[in-house]
Formats: sequence, structure tokens, C-alpha cells
Amino acid sequence: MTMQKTVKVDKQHVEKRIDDWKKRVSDLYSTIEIWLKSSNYYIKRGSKLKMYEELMSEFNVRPTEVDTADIYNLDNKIVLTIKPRGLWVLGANGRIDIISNKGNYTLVDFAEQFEPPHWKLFNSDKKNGVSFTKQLFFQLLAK
Amino acid sequence: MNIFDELGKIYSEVDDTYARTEIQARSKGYRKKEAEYYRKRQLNDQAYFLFMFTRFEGRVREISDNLINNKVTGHADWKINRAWEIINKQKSNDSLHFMNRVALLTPKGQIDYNLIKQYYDQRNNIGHGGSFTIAISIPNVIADMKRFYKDLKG
Repeated sequence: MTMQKTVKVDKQHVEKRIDDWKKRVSDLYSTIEIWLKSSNYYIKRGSKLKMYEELMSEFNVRPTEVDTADIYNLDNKIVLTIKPRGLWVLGANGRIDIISNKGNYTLVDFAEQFEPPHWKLFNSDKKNGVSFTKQLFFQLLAK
Repeated sequence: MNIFDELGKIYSEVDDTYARTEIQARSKGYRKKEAEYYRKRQLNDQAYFLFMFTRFEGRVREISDNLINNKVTGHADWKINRAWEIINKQKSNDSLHFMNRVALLTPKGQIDYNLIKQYYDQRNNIGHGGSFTIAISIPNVIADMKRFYKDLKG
């Protein structure tokens, strides 16, 4: 069994993690936007969610906001909503909820801190998580 | 189906129901209702996390009790036995701390121990009236609990 990497956590580190989180969320939306090109859906960045997690309070980092996004069909109806739920997640590097009329899916980043994200999708059918791909995303849209 | 899968299934049914209402409210621009159901899903996370963790606590207690009982009766050598006698006394008067029980089952300071400690801190925070101080993904909790349940041995 390996020892966990020790990282010095201070205000600068927390701010760097928040910037990285916002970038990963934004990059995810950009990726989805590319996936949706020439499809019957489009993505629109929606209202912002307040972000103020424990470590931010501990290190005097001001609350901030993170973008949500909605996926619309050509009738301009929302079919999926994407909401970043938290950066500091036990055993992972962030959680995003993807909500549909069929229920909720949880997207969890299993990459190490500051590494390119490795998003895995969970729901009641996918208990162990599956890599989040274009194909999987279109399966969610088709449900 | 084990208890964590069973609880996970019920959790998902409730979470999905709330999620549907949340997205419907968002579609209609009902921000207050959307926030209400977002909050309900957070509380649902907390409730099921606590439920699952209590099951896990029971498991840790059971296998650490078995380990202590075996060690106390298994050594004639006082030099080895004395430490187990002290632990056994703490077990008997219910003063053996949960994380000390965990340390009997997995190396202290390593990945599993640290992860259980983080879960335990969350459990205490919620149990004492707070909310999650960090986000928890219930599917991850289920996967971790099942793994701990299987891997922790006396």
C-alpha cells in the first residue's frame, strides 16, 4: 500500500485549486459544446452557483461562483442541467451533477490534483462509474 | 444484494425523484423551487451517508472485537499480552475510540485509514448538526464502503 502524497495546503494552494476547478468545469462545457455541434441540441451556460467550501473559509478565501449549464433541444426545452456540486470531494477531485427528467447522474473527477480530468459517470445503474465520453453523453440525451 | 447496494438503490430512487422536480422547476424559471429541491438532494445525501456509515461502524466494531478477543486469549507471553489486555479493557468499557479500532485493522496514516478518517469526520459533523464540510458522492461512498467491508480484516 502506498503512502498518500503530502501537499502543503495554504491560501495560495486553495486559490489555485479553485482556479483549476473552474477551468475544468469550463473545459467540460466546451467539450460538450463541440460534441453537440451538428446535433439537435445545444449548450448554454446558465445561472451561477455560489461556491464557498470548507477550505475556502478556513484559509480566508472569498466566496466565488461557478457556472452551471443547460442542454436544450431544438424546441428550446432544457433536457439536461449541469451543476458543479463541489471541488473537495472525498477520494476524488470534484463532483458535478447532471440532472435530467429521468433522474440524476453524478460526474466525478478521479484525476490527481492539477492533472487533466478523468471524469467518470455514476448513477444507480453505473455503480462503479464509467468514463464520460461523447457516446455516453448522447446516451443520456436519448433517455 | 448487500446492504450498501440496497441502500444505494433506495437513495437513487429518492435522488432521481428530487432531481426531476429540480430540473422541471429550472425549466420553468422557478428558482426558489429549484433551490429547494437542490437542498433536498443535499439532505438526502447526508441521510443516506449516515445510514451507510453506521453500518460500516458496526462492521468495524465486530471485526475489531473479534481480533481483540483472539489476541487476548491467544498469547501466553505477558510482554505481548499486556497491550492487548489494555485494549480489551477499553473495549469492555466502551472507551475504545472508533479510529483506534480502525487502526487495528488497517495501517494508520495510509490511504484507507486516512479515507476512513475523512468519512468519520464527516459523519461526526453531520451527526452533531452540521452539514457536509466537503462534498460526498454517494456512489463513491458505496464503492468505498463495500471495499472496506471486504478488505478490513482482524
